[in-house]
Amino acid sequence: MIYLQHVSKTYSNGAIGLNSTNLSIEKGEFVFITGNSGSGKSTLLRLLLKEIEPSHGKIIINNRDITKLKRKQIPYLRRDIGVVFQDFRLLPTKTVYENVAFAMQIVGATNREIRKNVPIILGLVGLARKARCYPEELSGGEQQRTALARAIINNSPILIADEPTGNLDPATSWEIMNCLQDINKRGVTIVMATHEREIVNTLKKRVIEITNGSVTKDMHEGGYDDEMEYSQVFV
Amino acid sequence: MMKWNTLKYLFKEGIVGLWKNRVMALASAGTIILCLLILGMSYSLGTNIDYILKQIETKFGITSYVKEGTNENKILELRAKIAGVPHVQEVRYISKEAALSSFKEGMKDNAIFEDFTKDNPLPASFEIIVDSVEFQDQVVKELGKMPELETRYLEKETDIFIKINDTINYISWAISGALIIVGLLLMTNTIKLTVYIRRKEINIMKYIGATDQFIRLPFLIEGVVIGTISALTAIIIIVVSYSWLSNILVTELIGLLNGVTFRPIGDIMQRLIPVCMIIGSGIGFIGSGTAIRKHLKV
Ligand SMILES: Nc1ncnc2c1ncn2[C@@H]1O[C@H](COP(=O)(O)OP(=O)(O)OP(=O)(O)O)[C@@H](O)[C@H]1O
Ligand SMILES: [Mg+2]
Repeated sequence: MIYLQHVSKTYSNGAIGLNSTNLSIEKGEFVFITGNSGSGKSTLLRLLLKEIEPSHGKIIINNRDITKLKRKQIPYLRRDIGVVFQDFRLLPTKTVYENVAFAMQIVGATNREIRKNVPIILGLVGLARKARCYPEELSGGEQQRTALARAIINNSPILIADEPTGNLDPATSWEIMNCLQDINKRGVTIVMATHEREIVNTLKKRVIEITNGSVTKDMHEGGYDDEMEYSQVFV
Repeated sequence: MMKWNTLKYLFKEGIVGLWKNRVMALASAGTIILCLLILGMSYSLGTNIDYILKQIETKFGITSYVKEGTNENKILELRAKIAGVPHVQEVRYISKEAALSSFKEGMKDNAIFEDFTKDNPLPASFEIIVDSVEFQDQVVKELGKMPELETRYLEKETDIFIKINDTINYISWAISGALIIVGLLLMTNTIKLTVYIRRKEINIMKYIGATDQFIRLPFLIEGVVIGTISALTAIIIIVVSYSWLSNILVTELIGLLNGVTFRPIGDIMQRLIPVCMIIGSGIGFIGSGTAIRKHLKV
């Protein structure tokens, strides 16, 4: 579903974001991208969204080389990829309901479809009672669940999350993780960058670690710092 | 091609956005209104000076000099012919003698001119009054076809008036042009500020797959609505203040103006309404369009 072939990204100021990276993520996977701050996690995700262009290499999503897409085609790529961020990025002048409905308006859904689907998705993320609230009236967890609802409303096959729990307390973070797992169970491929050891270690999903722009670890059912735990055992 | 449902949604978004960003919308509207008001003012002023000068010109009348050696019969014939030209209200014949005596009248104390009585150099002439300002040119054209006449409808004084008038016209066009540019720049800047404040929203929309069109349309609608409302407001202000001011001026200055009237408001509005509407909505549309362009490139 997602393939990177020798992908490098050097920013215009010379900073290296990603260094000749090969990667393949299959349909339905749940992948954590871990690594130190500045290692290149966000760079990888931004490349997938075609927010930035790779300096070298091919990025193939859904059998299309997205580096070859024209500017006009980018919106259609992004409709196949739901996104959530650390800072939620909801439209501040729209209610929860309107924020989610907005994503459907973008793809040209009918009013009937919108009226039918939005409440269902809001129910799914547990926000049915907050539909009429504005983002500033919500807790961080509720805002992130709104963002999740928006990301999945159009049945995008891929969900990209850049530190979605970064601004949330542990309990709320787990609510979001449970939502994400539910979404993954419905067949959505999830790529999530994170710093949170506990989450990574508990969920036992595939873990890809990036260090200074290169993949240094790729483990199924991995933990955040497997090597360290390993060495600690032997000390 | 966008679906009808989507268009409806984006139109509504534009209107709602207008309300949600009403402070900036008001600032933009204020700029356009001011620009159109000054434009309207300079147009009203220019066109009235034009109008009043034409009236003064009419009072001066048209003078047609009769060529030397034209006999009495021919002159009578000419007089009838001139009176028959459409829109001629009054024809006065001034004989060589009458011309000389009125000339002497003006030069009372100057004995030198006594000599002229013997050999009068002044030509006979017709003075023609036209029934309405706008037909003056037409009548002059008809008179020009008569070979026995040499028609001048601009005396020296009117020549100067015309020059002043041209200058004023020229200046008011220059001011209007400059105002349109200034208005456009101000509007673009105000909308740029709105767009800048909302750039995060635009960014978010792009992230979830909105096309440029989809993002741009509500902004354009906002701009056009602001422009149109501003134009309407400016027009109302101009109508009210023009009627009020011309009324006051006519009653206050009745002695001075001596029957001169201002251009009727209907005349002014006939030109000003479409111009204001086009400039207003145009500034709104172009302003929004330019302001948002940069931010769409994400
Ligand atoms: N727009 C940019 N211009 C220049 N350099 C950049 C830009 N964005 C990121 N970088 C650099 O690229 C490298 C990777 O950054 P990236 O944001 O991908 O890290 P990250 O792993 O997401 O870090 P964090 O965990 O702090 O979010 C860093 O050295 C960073 O300074
Ligand atoms: Mg990051």
